[in-house]
Amino acid sequence: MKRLKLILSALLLLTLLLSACTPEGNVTPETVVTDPATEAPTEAPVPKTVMKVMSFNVWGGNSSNQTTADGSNKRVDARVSVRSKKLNVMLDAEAIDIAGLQEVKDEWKTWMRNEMDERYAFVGRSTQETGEGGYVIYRKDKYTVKDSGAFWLVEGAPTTPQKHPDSNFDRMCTWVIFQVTATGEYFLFLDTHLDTVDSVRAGQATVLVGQIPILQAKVKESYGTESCPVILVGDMNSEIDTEPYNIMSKVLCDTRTYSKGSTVARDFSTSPWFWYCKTEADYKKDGHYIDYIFVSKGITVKNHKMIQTATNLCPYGSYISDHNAMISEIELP
Amino acid sequence: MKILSFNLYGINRQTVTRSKPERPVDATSAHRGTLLRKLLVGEKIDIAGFQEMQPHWRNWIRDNLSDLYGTISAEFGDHKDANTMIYRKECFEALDFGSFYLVPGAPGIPAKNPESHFARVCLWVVLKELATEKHFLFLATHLDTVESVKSEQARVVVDSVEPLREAVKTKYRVDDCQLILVGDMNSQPDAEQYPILTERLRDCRLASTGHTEDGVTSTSPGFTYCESEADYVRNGHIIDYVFVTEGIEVKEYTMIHAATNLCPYGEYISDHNAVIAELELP
Repeated sequence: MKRLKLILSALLLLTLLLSACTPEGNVTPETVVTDPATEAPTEAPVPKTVMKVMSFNVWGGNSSNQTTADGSNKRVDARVSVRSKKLNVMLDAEAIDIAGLQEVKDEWKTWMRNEMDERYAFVGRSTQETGEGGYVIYRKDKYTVKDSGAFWLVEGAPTTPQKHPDSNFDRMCTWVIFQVTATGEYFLFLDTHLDTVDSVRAGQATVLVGQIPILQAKVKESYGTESCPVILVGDMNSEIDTEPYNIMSKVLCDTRTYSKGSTVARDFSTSPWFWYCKTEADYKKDGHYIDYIFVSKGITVKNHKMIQTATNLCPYGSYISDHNAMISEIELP
Repeated sequence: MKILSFNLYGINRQTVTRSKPERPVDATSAHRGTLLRKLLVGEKIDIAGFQEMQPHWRNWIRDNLSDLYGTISAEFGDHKDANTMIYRKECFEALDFGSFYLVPGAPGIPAKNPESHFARVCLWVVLKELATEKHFLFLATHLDTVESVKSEQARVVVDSVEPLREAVKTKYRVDDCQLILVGDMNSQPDAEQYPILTERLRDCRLASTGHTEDGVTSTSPGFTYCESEADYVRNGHIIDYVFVTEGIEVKEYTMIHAATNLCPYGEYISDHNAVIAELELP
């Protein structure tokens, strides 16, 4: 009996080894890797660079028991560990290339270091006072960071932490010079968060737009490029047609209005706090539109949209932040 | 690494929930697949074994997951159903694969116990973890629903464990080859198949050193509408498993209630829940 068992297991071993070498037709390998290079026509024109950029104030809070703001008194588990998982899902599903995040506090930094989707890398820095960061996350297989830095939103735009005496915080702007890996193109990406104090925002916006030509010149000089497209994203704490908005929209194009495809109506709130909705009809519409994506002239805006991440109806899981996520699909000149 | 066992339910049409027949469910693979991708990304799944992989499901996976995952399938001998596994291409290399049928002798060509509904199959894949160069085996199967044949099928799977491990050690000249077996075993922990399956393997639910699931929440509740988590089906109907060999550390064992409207990745991905084990190779 023992011998028979031995023979049987030897036979089984032999069968498995043989099948290892010659898989039968009943096994379907569907992973045959095809080299995209061999599929592309040999002399295809170089396509323009299309990318999906996002502006997202991710909320720096980390509460497990946050109350919604709509009077329904629903409770939200708003710990970063819970919300960041959903952000990974959104990044993937929306195929985001580059995102400027605001209110990136310690828990979010831990997420970026350890739990963010592996296809993304991050660059940025935090303010001195709040520890909140303007961080830019990007697809590391598609873009290379050539240089990055920050300036503070005070006159003279210093590179060390500074604060306007009337501003709540030492507000800053993160800038990143990117190169598109596939085409070699350069562009400038800025991520900022203006203050909540009314009297200082116009000054902060002026500093911001004043720095853009200086950074563009830096790109042209350092990399020998003729032009330098600019993308500026952020929570501007300023509604449409207010003074800070007008300062920015005079030199850059608001992707909401320049979109050639679909766009977002201006009466939506981009920052509704945690908002419970029975249906989409309950989305907050009070015109509190404060999160933006601006681009320089020459960049084509294919479409602009908002994901209702501050609601229970967010398709990537309820309540990723107290703000909604703004997404523009753009094409470099 | 995070391992998922998930019976994805083979249908591709509209249906209704079991608990509330008036509640419609879009059970097309096109719709459920979008939710599946969210779950895979959200839970950072490295390797998954899927059951009830009808051709429409395999096509969906090929068309929509190939940027992240490699895919290998083994079809049943007499049915379009298949066992499919996916692995994260960035982290693993599939060195070899094959299949055997769940009848004594574990033949590599379709064979069936006359009493079994289908010619059930077990897929095996030899994987290498790229970061550590460690070799291990991943097996995915789906036992029959007919009571009289399940023990025999479980025996065939379990008896293949050691010969397969030895074969890999010999072929790749490695000292160790741990093994992971996932699947819908159609057998609860008190069924006669369970002691057979756990003869050489450990049930991750019990072996977990961190968070784990209770022994009563059903892994296969059917599409169920729940007002709250209190409505999860808790009748001990546990039939989906992740089993591992002795050397593997089980850090966590969780279940995503994918068969309910409360699934965090969208309502009703399948009529089964998704069971997930976080493992570390020795």
